[in-house]
Formats: sequence, structure tokens, C-alpha cells
Amino acid sequence: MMVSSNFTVGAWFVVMIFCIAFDLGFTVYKYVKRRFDEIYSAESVLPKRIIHGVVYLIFLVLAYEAIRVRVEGELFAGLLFLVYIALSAVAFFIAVDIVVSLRKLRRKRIA
Amino acid sequence: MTPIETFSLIFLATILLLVSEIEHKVVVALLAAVFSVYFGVSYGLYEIEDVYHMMDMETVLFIVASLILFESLNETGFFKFLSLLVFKKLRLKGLFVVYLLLAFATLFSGIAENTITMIIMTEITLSVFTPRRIDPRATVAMEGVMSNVGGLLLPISSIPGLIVATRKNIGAEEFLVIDTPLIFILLGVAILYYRLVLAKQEARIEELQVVVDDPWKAVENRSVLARSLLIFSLFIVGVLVSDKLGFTPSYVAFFFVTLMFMFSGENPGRILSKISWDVPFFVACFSIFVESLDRAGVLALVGSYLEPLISASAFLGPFVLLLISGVFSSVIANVSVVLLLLPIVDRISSISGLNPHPLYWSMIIGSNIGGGLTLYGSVPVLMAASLAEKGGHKISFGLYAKKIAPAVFLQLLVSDFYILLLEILGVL
Repeated sequence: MMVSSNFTVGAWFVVMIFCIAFDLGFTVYKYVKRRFDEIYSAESVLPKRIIHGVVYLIFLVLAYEAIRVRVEGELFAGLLFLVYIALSAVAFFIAVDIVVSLRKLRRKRIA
Repeated sequence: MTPIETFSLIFLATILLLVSEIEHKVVVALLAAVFSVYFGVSYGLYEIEDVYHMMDMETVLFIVASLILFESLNETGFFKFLSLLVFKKLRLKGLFVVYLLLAFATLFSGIAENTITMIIMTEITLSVFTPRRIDPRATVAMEGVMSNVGGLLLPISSIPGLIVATRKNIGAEEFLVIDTPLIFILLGVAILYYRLVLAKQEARIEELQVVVDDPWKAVENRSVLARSLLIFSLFIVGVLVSDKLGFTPSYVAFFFVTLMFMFSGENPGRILSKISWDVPFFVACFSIFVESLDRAGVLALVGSYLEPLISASAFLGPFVLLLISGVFSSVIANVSVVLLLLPIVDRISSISGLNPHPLYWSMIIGSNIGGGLTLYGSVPVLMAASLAEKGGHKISFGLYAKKIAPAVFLQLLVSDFYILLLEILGVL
């Protein structure tokens, strides 16, 4: 009974962390997307949008590494996990943006 | 992640940002420097106190002082006056007007900042071509190309040359001895190319004629011009003999900046507000970034790929490096190409035992000329294109690639054989 309760609380925490991180990630991505849409309104600049997306992905990896290099140790494992989830959420949406831009670019080339 | 992986990612992001021109180049250099210092200190590659020394302040200060002196001389109207005076005296017509314009673009960028040169040259060219309804685009673009060539004249003539000269103690005399013949050869190549290729596409070019009323109209105050010119000439002499005086070039340059501000009669505030501050900022930040890459081992990694190409033969190494720096400079700023390649070249020459001197010259020449391979590769060409567009003559990427890029490629090849010849003759 005790094990089951602990498991439920643990699962609840994981789900909450995931939801917060995802929400945070999506909020950040919405800002990034707004910026991308402002700069890259024309289809002719799609390759630049893709490159910009790749650069932002690299920045996310560097952001994670910047925190990891400073807060190593078991004490900060939870914090690192939260950061990892949040950055992964942002990275996921940026990756989707890159794929969508690539498909648009391909369609444009075929046309 | 290991330091080499982290710095490789910073390197990749920086190159992508520079190539795509998504952000201003100073922002890119600042980003690269900020990331580099954070990780460099965190990984224990260096201490925060070392960052000041990584900035290469000698080069940065010399660039600032040179820009101030160039702008001071430009403010007097000297360059416009000189070109109008020569046009009036020579009374040239037809293609000879174009040849003189190309020669002026080369000469002026040798003794002035190339953005200043392009502003003056484009203005003169449009004023000569537009009234006769002759297409000025090819001429303006070729002036941009020749402005890159003129940057070879002295260490102060271009930032890549200046960086290599200050770091490797290459004096102004050596620049004059090695580069002056090459500049004349490349001017000849440009003139020949214009005559054989570009002139044939513009039938009315023979109608060109310059009518100059009074060249002195370009000068606001003759006394200011005389004093500024004297101080600027002394600055050139001072830089030439700076090592004999026992002072650094940056000290000598600031000595003449002080004289210019005190005695030329120009307004220092106005001069300082017109300086291209992005250049020293870029060089300082990018130097920190490159030094960090070096300490993390990224440059050694890049060098290991380039080494087989460069160290294959003592003669062919400079030949290949000139092409490499030329092609790289056509896609990213030539200052960054030189800053990145310099430590790589040093590493390769120390491993393979190659004489680094010809390699330095390949880098200086390749990075200066190669920028002209594309419309966006060098500041003078880009400047020429944007000024021509303002005047209603759009130079498209396609037009540039079709008409001008072959001339630049020809110049790169000629320079390559020139370096080869100097090596065979034992000059380098």
C-alpha cells in the first residue's frame, strides 16, 4: 500500500514536471516562432529560417551544457532533469518548425 | 560534453550565423565571445583575467586609430578633390575614364578605409555615367573588386592585412615590396577583362566624358585639408619607421590622432561619430573566440584536415591556402577567415616544418581578393551594390556572378601564380 502511494506521488510529480516543462517550452517556442514569422515572412527566406532554427537548437544544447557544467552532482540532478525537459520541449517545436520549413522549401522547388 | 565538443558547437553556430547573415556580424562575434569565455572559464581552459590578453588590444587600438585618421582625411574632401583634379588635367574620354576610375578605387582603398573609398567612387561614377544614360553597374562593381585589391598596398589598408602584419611583425616596407607589383598586375587584369568582356556589352561606353568645372568645390576648407594631409602623411611615415623608433604602431597611430584632433581644425566629436565602430568590436570579440577555440583543441582538429592539403609541398601549400582563404572569404567576413586561419597555419607550419611566411602572404592576398567572388563577400562590393541601387541601378546576385565573379577568380589565379613565382625566385 505504502509503495503504491509513493509510486502515485512520484508519478504525479513526474507528470507535473513534464507538464510545466512542456508549457514553459511551448511558451518559449511561441516567442521564437513570432520572431521567425516577423523576420521570415517571405518564402524566399526559408533556407535562412532553417539555418536560424538549427542555430537555436545548438544554443539549447549549449544552454543545457552551461547549466550542467556549473551544477554537477546528485543534489542538482532534479533541477537538471527539469531543465532538460524544458529545453527538449523547445527543441521539439523548433525541430518541427525546421521540418515544416524544409517541406515547404521542397514543395516550392518541385513547383 | 567535452570542451572540444562544446567549442565545436559554438564554432558551428558562429559559422552558420556569419554565412547566413541572420544577425549583425558584431552580434555574432559578441555571442561567440560570451559563450567562449563562459565555457573556457568553466572548463578551466583559462582564467577570467586572461580574457583581456586574448582580445589582441594592439591590433584593436591600431584599427581604431587608423579609422579616425582615415575619416579625418576624408572629411576634408581630399579624395573627391584629387579625382576631380586628375580628370580635369587628363581630359580623358571613353574607356580611359573607366580605367582611371578603377585605378582611383585601387589607390584610394590603399590609403583610406574601403567603405569611404566606395562612397566616393560610386558617387563619381554615377555622376559620370547617369547623364549619358550608360549602365554603370559593371563599373561600380569592378571598383568594389579593385578596392579589395587596393587593400593590399599597406598593412593599414585592410583589416586582414593589418591583423597578420601586427601579429607576425610584417612591416609596411615588405607590403610595398611584395604587394605593389601584384596590385599593378591585378589592375592590368581588371582593365583587360573590362576591355575584352564588359566593354563589349555596353556599346555607348566610348561616349563617356568627364566635365569638371572646379575641383576645389569639393573642399570645404583648404587650410584644414593641407593640415590634415600633412598629419596623415606623417602618420604613414611614422608607421613605416615605428619599429626603428621603438614604439608600437598603435602608439604611433594615436600620437598622430592627437595631432590631428589638436591641429587639423576638424571637429573630433564629428569624426568619432562617423567611425565604423563595428570593426574594432568584431576583431576584439572574434579574437577571444578564436583563442578559446585554440585552447579547446578545435583549431588543431580543423588544422588536421587542412594539413595534408597545405603541407603536401612547400611550393603548393601557399597556392592551396590562397584559394582556400579566397573561397572562404567569399562566404564569411575575411576578418574572421584570417583570425581563424592564422593559428591553424602556425600549427601546420610548426608540425610540418614549412616556412610560414609565404603562407601568411597567401592568407593576406586570398582573403582580400576572395571577398569579391560573391556580391555579399566583401564590404566594398556590397557597399558599391547598395549605393548603385540607391541611384536606381540594381546589381543582382546573378548579374554579379555572371559578369564580375570570373574577373575575381582570374585575379585569384594570377595572385596564386605570383606567390609561386616569388617562392621560386626566393623572395618569400
